[in-house]
Amino acid sequence: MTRALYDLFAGPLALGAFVVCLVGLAVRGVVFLSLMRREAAAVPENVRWGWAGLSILRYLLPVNVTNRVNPLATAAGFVFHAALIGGALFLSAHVVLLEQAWGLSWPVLPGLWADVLAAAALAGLVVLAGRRLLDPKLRGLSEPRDLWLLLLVALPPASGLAAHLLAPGYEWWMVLHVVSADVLLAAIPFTKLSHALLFALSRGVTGSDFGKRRVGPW
Amino acid sequence: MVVHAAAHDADLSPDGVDRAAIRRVMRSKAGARLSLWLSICSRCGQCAEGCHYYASNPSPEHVPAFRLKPLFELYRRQGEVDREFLERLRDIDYGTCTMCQRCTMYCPHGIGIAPLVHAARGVAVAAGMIPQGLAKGMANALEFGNNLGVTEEEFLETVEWQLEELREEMPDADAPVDKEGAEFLLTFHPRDIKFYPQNLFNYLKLYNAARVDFTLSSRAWDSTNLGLFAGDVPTATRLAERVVEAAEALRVKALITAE
Ligand code: SF4
Ligand code: SF4
Repeated sequence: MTRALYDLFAGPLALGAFVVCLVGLAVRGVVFLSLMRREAAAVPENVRWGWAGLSILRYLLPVNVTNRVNPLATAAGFVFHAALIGGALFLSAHVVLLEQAWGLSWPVLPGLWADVLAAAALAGLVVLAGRRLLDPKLRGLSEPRDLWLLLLVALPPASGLAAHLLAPGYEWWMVLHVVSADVLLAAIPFTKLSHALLFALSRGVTGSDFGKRRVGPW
Repeated sequence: MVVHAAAHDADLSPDGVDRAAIRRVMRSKAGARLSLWLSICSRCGQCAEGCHYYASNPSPEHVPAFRLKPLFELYRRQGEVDREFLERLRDIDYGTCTMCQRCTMYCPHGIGIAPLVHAARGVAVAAGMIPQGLAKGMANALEFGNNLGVTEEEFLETVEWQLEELREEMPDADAPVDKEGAEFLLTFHPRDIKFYPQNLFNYLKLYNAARVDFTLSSRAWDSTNLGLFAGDVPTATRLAERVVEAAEALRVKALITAE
């Protein structure tokens, strides 16, 4: 039974989740750009591409102002994002699946990294969740779905780690791993997780707006 | 005050909220940026560090992203809101933000809190809920050309008085009014004219000492735009046009606004 479930969620449903994720994100990006274009007909947008690019770069690297004023949250955010994305893309178990399914392949990280990355991602998430639950300013801001999403994002690395470390229940942990990963992928375009792509558009637009006033690549 | 929506297409709720007007304004504000920003705010709170409200009183309501909550809910409920909701929107979005944009510099996503607060204010305007002091200032600006209701005569007298004082220490100082072809048109905060004329003295001294070729306009000298601040776009446009028209009529090269 676990085998059948696993095959379903790591096979056709995983493909479905990828399609929903990529098509969904693409639609959101296209809708944004076409709205921008329509508005530019009334008020010319006059994009400053250089400032837009710098602004995106500045916030992809920990060299911005939030880094200085809030080092713990920034560190947790960067570790979590890097470990989650790095793990999703470069763990051998993931790349093997892709290779079997679509014949795609690229270099992978040594096996030891699986546990390190999962643990790092979870540590980052624990810090972020802890702040959300304990810091009064974040408690006032948070919606229930912010916590649900944190949980959803934590499930794939947590279940992957559990499958590796806890011998009993391996099959069930793996089922949870693929199910939660599918749900997470499919949820990206419909939630604030859409910042995976839209971050760059928003940062770019703002960088360009601030660049027009020559106040820096904010 | 601004008059809105003919009664026949109004969708009035029992407590007198014109939902049709609110929905119209919501549609006009729902541009590329608004939809994007409302959907990707992570509620991470990084923006708090940029806000002077939060710096002086670090309460949860002073986190910039908190200003987005009413707008977020408004769109989620598609404008089906009551007076109590709108009063909360008004208090949050007029009462706790100066639209300075500092928070955007701290937001990893670069979310423009100020434009979103401006959009929320636009909704309050459509619901006829501009705070009274602001409405009065706007009415003044429309009637007198400045938000404190200074008359043209009072303005010219103040300029003359300060120029006289200035000439005691700078005999060749000048303050040309409505001089065509000057390089710059100077505008002022009305407060500086009405309550702190010493500031006008200082401006004149500075520009004379720097030998800047400037002029003042007898009609359009208010550097503020309360329409913009209130989120009332038609009024903002009219007030801005007034200054632009004066600048064009005087054929100046640039306009200097001082705060
Ligand atoms: S920093 Fe940006 S993303 Fe984070 S809560 Fe503030 S506005 Fe939202
Ligand atoms: S724009 Fe408003 S919320 Fe943002 S820093 Fe300025 S006052 Fe605070």
